[in-house]
Amino acid sequence: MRVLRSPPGADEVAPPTSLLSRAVSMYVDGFRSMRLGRTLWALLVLKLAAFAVIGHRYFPDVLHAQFDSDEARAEHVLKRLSTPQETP
Amino acid sequence: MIPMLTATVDWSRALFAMTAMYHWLFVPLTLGLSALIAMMETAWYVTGDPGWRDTTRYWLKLFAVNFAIGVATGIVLEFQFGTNWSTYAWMAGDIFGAPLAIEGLMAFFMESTFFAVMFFGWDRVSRGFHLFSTWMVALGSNLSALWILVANGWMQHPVGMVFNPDSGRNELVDFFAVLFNPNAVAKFLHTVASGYVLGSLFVAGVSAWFILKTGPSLFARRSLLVATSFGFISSIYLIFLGDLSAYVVANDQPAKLAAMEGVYQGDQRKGIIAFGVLNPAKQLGDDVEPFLMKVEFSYLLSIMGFHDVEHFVAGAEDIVWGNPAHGLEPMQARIDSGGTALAALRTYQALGPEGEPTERAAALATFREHEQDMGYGHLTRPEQAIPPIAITFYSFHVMVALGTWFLGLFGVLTYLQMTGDISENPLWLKLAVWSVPLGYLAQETGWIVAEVGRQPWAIQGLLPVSVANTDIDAGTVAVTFFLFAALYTALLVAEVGILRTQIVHKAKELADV
Repeated sequence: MRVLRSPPGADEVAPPTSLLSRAVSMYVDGFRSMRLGRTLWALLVLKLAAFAVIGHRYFPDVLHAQFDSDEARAEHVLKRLSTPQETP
Repeated sequence: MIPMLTATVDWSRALFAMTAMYHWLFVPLTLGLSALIAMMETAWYVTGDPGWRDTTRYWLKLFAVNFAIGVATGIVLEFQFGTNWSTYAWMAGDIFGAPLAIEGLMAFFMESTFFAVMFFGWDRVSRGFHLFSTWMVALGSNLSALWILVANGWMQHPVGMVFNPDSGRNELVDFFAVLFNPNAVAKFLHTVASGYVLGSLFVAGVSAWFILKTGPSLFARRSLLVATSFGFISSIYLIFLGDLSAYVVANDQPAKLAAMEGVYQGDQRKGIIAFGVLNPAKQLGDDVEPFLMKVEFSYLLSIMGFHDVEHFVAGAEDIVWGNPAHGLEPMQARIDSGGTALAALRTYQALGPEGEPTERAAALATFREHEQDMGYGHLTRPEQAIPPIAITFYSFHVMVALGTWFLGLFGVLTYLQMTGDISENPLWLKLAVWSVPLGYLAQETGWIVAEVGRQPWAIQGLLPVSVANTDIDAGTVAVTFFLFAALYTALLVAEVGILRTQIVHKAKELADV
């Protein structure tokens, strides 16, 4: 009698084969296996956090903060543009 | 003596200059290294030699360090537009919107797809697709630079737009005129080529250090040969592009050309100064000699600037006081014309949409007649149209001297490698190592020429920096200057530290082999 057996390893999870699965797997494994990359990502996150805090605190969009409409902003800019300023 | 900065506009300029200069420490290395890595991987693809694969992967690691630390440092420049340069941002926003949006989208898609394949895709995608991804990263980095430099080129030579006197904006009417603006084309090609030279200097310098420390390993010799060959070709290309840039500047920004060459009084058959020391006592309009000493090559400035040996090259004094014999009006005429434009714009605004249509139309017609000079209406003295001469002159000459040195260095190193054992020439290897910081110096001086040389303008002829600037508290801008100075210095220290660790680690690895 022929014994039907599963091929070796058939009970294991099949490796991802679709393009999407392979792409996801590439990202996941890539991030997991990073060594230098972890330091770089940490620096990147710290840098972006510092930019976000400084940007929020010190870099408002002045025209949007000071005027409610584009008409008011345009009026302000046109006044500045058309009034001679002191050039150093 | 360092001048005390007291005005908001001075602090805003200092902040922009400082952040832009730090940003530009990272960008050109990304441009150059990405191209070199793509070439090395191509060698692996073609030969199948695993040594090329290892070589590619090592430089990719250093590329990753530079990219991760440098990425997003340009965002700070964009912060400043809305806060420190709000008039400029409003006036130019319509022009900059399209190129900067394309740059942002392109960077996002390129970086999230091809970067991932380049770093994580080894042994997971085919060799061909991996190589394709690496080339796409190199191409994407270059195209990213294109859009930024198109925006900068427009500021140096505004085209393809019309000023809307109702909104105060320059509105884009011809995208291709902006994209193919000769100033933008010259700037893009010259800047990208300079990135190739810097990348080559970096790889050559580090490889030379490996040879000096650990002997002529195959890895170091291959890296050095790729870098010096590419650097040599790029340097020749860069010099030709420098000629194109000179032609564009001579025609669009004569005051910048005069400052670059220290020309006070123009002439036909004008020569270029190969080396010179400016006389600090010289003022516009006096009889003092402009140079304490100089070495000049006859005729070349007329030839390079106008492709005509007989062409008159205007000096700063010709631009300020005019030169009727050569058809140059005095600057005061442009200032008066600009004043007329501003007065007409004020009248047009004062009348408003409900104003008398005939008067409004007359004011608009007067404005249109003089609008090309509107920025000059803000100048109070003709001399203000001339950029700082000393800093522009010395920066330009340092850049040119270094570019010439790099060409020679690459040429000699390539020759020595092709005709013998490079490790027997430690002097040239040491010169390669010490030329890496000189590459950065050349990059920064190039941008100083471009930006200081176009003062007093934020947008050439239309908007002086004193008007482009936002009238905010100078103290706040000073605080942000020091905050970013500290942050960017920390980033630079981190970059140098991590790169040093990676290079020393590789040297130990090579020594063990």
